[in-house]
Amino acid sequence: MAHIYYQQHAHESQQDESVLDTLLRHGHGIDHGCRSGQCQSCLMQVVEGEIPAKAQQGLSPQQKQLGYVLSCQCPSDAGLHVMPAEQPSAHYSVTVLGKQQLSQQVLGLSLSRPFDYQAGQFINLHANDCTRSYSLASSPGQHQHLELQIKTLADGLLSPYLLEQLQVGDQITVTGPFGECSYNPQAPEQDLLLVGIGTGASPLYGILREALSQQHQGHIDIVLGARQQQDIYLHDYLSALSQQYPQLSYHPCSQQDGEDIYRYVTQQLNDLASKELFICGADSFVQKMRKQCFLAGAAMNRIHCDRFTAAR
Amino acid sequence: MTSLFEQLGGQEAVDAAVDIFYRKVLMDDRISHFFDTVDMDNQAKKQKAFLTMAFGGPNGYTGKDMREAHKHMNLTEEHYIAVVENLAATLTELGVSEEKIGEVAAIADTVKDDVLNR
Repeated sequence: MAHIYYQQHAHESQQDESVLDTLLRHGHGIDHGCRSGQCQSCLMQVVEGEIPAKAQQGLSPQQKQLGYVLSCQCPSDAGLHVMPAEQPSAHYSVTVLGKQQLSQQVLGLSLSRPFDYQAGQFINLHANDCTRSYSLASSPGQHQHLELQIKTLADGLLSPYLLEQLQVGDQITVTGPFGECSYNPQAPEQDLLLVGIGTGASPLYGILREALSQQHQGHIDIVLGARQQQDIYLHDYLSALSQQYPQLSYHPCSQQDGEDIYRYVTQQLNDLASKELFICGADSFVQKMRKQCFLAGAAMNRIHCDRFTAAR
Repeated sequence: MTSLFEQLGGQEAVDAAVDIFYRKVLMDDRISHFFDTVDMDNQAKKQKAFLTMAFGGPNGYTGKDMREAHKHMNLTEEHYIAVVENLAATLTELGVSEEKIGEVAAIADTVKDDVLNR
């Protein structure tokens, strides 16, 4: 039986348990959120022991080098000696500046901006005793505030609270920014392809608006998929932008109209090999789209993904 | 005398080959199903490590790792041949001579028994 060493105690781990779960089961209050390796709330540092690769997936090279692990993704049978991450990400208290219903399912939230970030990154909201990750829809070059587009789930822990109880003027705690699915302002000639479903549109909208505000020269395709067109909550905004900017093409893919977003992207768009791709949305969608784009010629290291996983 | 790895173009050649090779593997009906549920980031890194090894480059590959990684997959000669064919086709596409492709295949063969758990 393996042990996890934490704060001078050895804690016996159970089979198939993560380091996070072992420590929680033994009564340690470890900050955590999504439990699927995305939000980085449960970051810990390994002092001793061999780190399983799985526990560092998605971390930056610097974090890896420092022995940081996502404790929710780290199998406990490795028998590690861990401690709290040395520099816990700073918590910022921000003000709710605005709330807007973008569609029946999507809530727009404006927050005061405590830090600089890159378009397409995400932040964590900490409220109602839980932590959830949301991508930024705002453009750092264009907006003084942070903008989130949040899918509200009736049985969710955080989104019903945000929808019903959080008021304009309230304070809320955020950490971040996180993520590497972000716009690179150094390559203004680069053709971009932005593909998403659901609130995957949110980081894409941030990347798009940042690119346009930086006078991006390359062609930008944005393709959003949905069951029916009225589910695309940014439809009107994107239609208007594509009228305004000649380098922008917007294509909604509605299943109801017989369109298949995978087929559209891989067969109707030319020369994926020359494009920088951003794919955002539900995990299963992102995985499938990424594979199909790669097989259709896109370069692996130029496909950037933001995979939304359901919090567990 | 320069090494095979240098003659092939070193790390740059590996970078050029990895997408082409991985794409071929994913499209090969004989073996593509092994990759249906694997994470593409991790897999691309493994493909890169494999190519570096097969190109005769510096790598941390050991027979034990290869055996451990593949032992639950019930691989057969056919699967192995598929990988080597895709490797050869990748190199042909990149303009590598047949002679050098033979040398690469010979290096790959050194881990064959480990991969097939024999």
